[in-house]
Amino acid sequence: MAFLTLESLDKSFGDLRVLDAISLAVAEGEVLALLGPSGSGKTTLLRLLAGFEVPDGGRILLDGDDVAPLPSARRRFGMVFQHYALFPHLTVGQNVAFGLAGRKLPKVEVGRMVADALRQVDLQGFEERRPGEISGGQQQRVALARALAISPRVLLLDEPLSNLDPALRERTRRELRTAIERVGITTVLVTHEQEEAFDLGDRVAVLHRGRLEQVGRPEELYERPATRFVATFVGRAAVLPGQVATAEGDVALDGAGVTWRSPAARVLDTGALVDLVVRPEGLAFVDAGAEGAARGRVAARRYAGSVTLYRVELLAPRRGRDHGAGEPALGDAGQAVGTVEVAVAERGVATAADASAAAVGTEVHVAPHPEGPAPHAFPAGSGR
Amino acid sequence: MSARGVPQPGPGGAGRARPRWPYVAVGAVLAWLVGYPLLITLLEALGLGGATGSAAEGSFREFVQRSDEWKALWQTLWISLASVVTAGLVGVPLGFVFERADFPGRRLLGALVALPVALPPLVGVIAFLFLYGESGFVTRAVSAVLRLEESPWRLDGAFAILLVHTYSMYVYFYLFTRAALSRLDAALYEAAASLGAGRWRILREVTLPMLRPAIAGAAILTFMTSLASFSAPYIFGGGFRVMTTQIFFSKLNGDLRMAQVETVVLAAMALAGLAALQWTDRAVSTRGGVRGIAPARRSVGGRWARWTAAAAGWGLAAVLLLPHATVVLISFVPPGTWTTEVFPPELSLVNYNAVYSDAESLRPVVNSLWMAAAATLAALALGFAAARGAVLHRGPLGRSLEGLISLPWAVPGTVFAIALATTMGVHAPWVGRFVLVGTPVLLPLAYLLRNLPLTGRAALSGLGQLDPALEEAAASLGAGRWRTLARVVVPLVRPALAAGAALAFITALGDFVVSIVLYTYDTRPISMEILGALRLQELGIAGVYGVLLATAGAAAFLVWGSGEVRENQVRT
Repeated sequence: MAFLTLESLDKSFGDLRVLDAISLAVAEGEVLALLGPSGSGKTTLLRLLAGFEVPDGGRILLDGDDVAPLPSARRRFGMVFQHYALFPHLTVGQNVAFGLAGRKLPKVEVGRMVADALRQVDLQGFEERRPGEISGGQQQRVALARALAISPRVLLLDEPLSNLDPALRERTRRELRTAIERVGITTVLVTHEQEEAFDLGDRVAVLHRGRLEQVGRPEELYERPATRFVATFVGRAAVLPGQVATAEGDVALDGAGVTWRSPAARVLDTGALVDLVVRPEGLAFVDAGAEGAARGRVAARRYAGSVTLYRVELLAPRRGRDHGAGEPALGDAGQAVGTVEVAVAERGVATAADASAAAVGTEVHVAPHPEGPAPHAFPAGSGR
Repeated sequence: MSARGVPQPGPGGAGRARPRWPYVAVGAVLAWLVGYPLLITLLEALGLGGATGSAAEGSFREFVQRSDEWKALWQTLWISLASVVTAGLVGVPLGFVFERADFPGRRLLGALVALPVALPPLVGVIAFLFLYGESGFVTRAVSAVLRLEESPWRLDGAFAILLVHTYSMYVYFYLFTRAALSRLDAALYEAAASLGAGRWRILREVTLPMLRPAIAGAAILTFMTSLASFSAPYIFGGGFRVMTTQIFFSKLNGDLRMAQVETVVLAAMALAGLAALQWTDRAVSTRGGVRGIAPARRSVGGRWARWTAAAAGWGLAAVLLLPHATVVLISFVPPGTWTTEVFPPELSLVNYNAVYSDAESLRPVVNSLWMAAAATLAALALGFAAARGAVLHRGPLGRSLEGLISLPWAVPGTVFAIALATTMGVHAPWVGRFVLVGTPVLLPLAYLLRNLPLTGRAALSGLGQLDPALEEAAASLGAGRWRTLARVVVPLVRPALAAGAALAFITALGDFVVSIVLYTYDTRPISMEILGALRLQELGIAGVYGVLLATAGAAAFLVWGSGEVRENQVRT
């Protein structure tokens, strides 16, 4: 049973509808990542949970009770702020003890709880320091310790790593995950970085323009995106227009003179116009005569460490060579009919075709990789 | 980034029902205190105040027809404009020297040079009297050197006023120039230099244009301060009348109606100045691109050059601080001992004893202390409440609160004095008018009004810099509204509040312009006692009171300075 349930939450600022009927369920101990671009409403959603904003409509249920009418101070949701919001005039210890003050605990007990909270984030003995005297990563952990010290029912993290430099971010992310796992607390975090969401979240909710696009495990989002937005926002992808050609899910690409198979197209009517979403690692360079080989030209090459990404402009098939005699030429031979990216693993270049594709301007042929993620078809125009 | 692009409500979220009514109540109190007296004065000056309409109409017509009124108006305008020019000529170069050159003692001197801003205007005026007046030090010295029978000059009229204005107002230019210079990006100079510009061209085409908003701001501030200036024209003006003294003498002659008309005219001039200032402020804030690191101070090269610069700097500081040193010296001169000598032949504590051992002489000190303290505390509470309302409820309510706490800053003290005398001299409780004239309440109330912008603006800037997330963090940790206020908000804005309160206290302690219109014998403040001592030629006694005010002013200035420093630490 869901521990934290959001029921059709709405929120507008003036005429601007920021959240539109958001419904979500989070299990106890689960980590949910809210992922979306700027202005998607994810921070507003977090602020509704924290009680800093009041929803225009809908309910927030915690263990069956509606907490939406409760002010923030009585909600006991621990929050880590984007810029930490550590009180600059208080020491680290006083910051962590701040939330314990209302409980009339003996001083010794408070001291012990503060020490415990700091130990959880590996900052033993930092009680007397001031927030201005410790590093950004340490400030982040103090903010976490402060939120955890009140034994919150839910932990909220607002872009927890955005304030750190890339080198520190990786390490802090690991520490954050360890700390959350150690406490086993139900957590909702906001991020605009897919990698962060995938790494920290047990499940990821993708928001776009105030609407919930999809909720699921990271691999679900990646392999079976529910909308064109999710497909393109989560991971790299190119979108090619096409038409369903067979009931088996073959899709004829506009202008390219080839068909690529997409399992998702099977449920669509033959002849339906679709957008085909293809990922770089779902494509490979092939020989000219191979099945599904689309002709193209390397427009750019970008070395990215473990893989090299090739931007390939797809071209219309050459007159009378790739196709049977008498078949009309499709499109102008020199003009691109679409652009895809092809990822080639840097180790073990598989074929001669791969090796020859290195140079920009070279003519190549690309086709779906049998072991990569299959192209995903959406009815044309369905993507927002 | 996150959804920061969407319009965000104020801290705490507008939705999390922050009650409006306490701030509406604060606004009502402010409106009664600040706006209402001005309105009543306007109505009465126009003859709409219930009194005989035709008489008032007559007053306006009389004002327009009288040549001395036009003369006072014109003299107010030109003396204010001239003060802008002379104060700018002193303050801007001084700002350059202290911000750009480095020499021994620069930091200490830099602070001392700003000191006149914290000293009560009346103290500056008597200091000039002691120094350059007919029997002042410099006057005597020059007479002695030139073997003159009588003093070589008379310290009165427009020249004297201009001298005092320059001395007390160059600080605006000095502080603004320094602040603007310290914000300029060194890369701008490097870019200009790399494009082949020499030092003068950089100054002319890069530095000065970038400083223009700051200089314009200082100019309007100086203009408005001169417009409201009363002490210097009152003591040195003689036959040279400006609007503030014109108002005062009209009131003194019993022509309250004419005083009201003159008050309305002066208030209109001041509000025009305020509008100009706000327009400049906006122009400043639309300027972007000032970031990065200010250029390093040029250490004055060579040992001799360094010491010359230091000597010049110290010499300058001495000239600027000489008037106040003179006040200290005069306070030690026993009555009747200093006649024709260049230096006083005898120094003793007799004046101090006279003041501190006599209950009647001490009375004004006690009066000023309690009235200033009460007014400051009330202004602190009211200013903080209004500023908090302005920060929490942006929109019409917030803007009105902000406007109401700022208004008394722009309106000359004389105007408020006349407005309060007009409004609080009538018993009509059902329209919010009570007879307070002649009671001990009126003067502290007037001080409170004048203090409001100092405490209110300080609270506003402190609260405005507070990260809203801090209050949200406190709320998420279970702190209620009052605990958040006590443990997070107030401690963080305390430096700003202390700075505002220090300035407010010293302003009230040394007030002259409002006091001279509204005081009674029982509430006579220090400034009136100084005036009385001057009339009786008891210069030493006046000196003792002056030293007292100057000391309090310097102490307040220190609090103000350290408050600013701490505020910066909080921000980083």
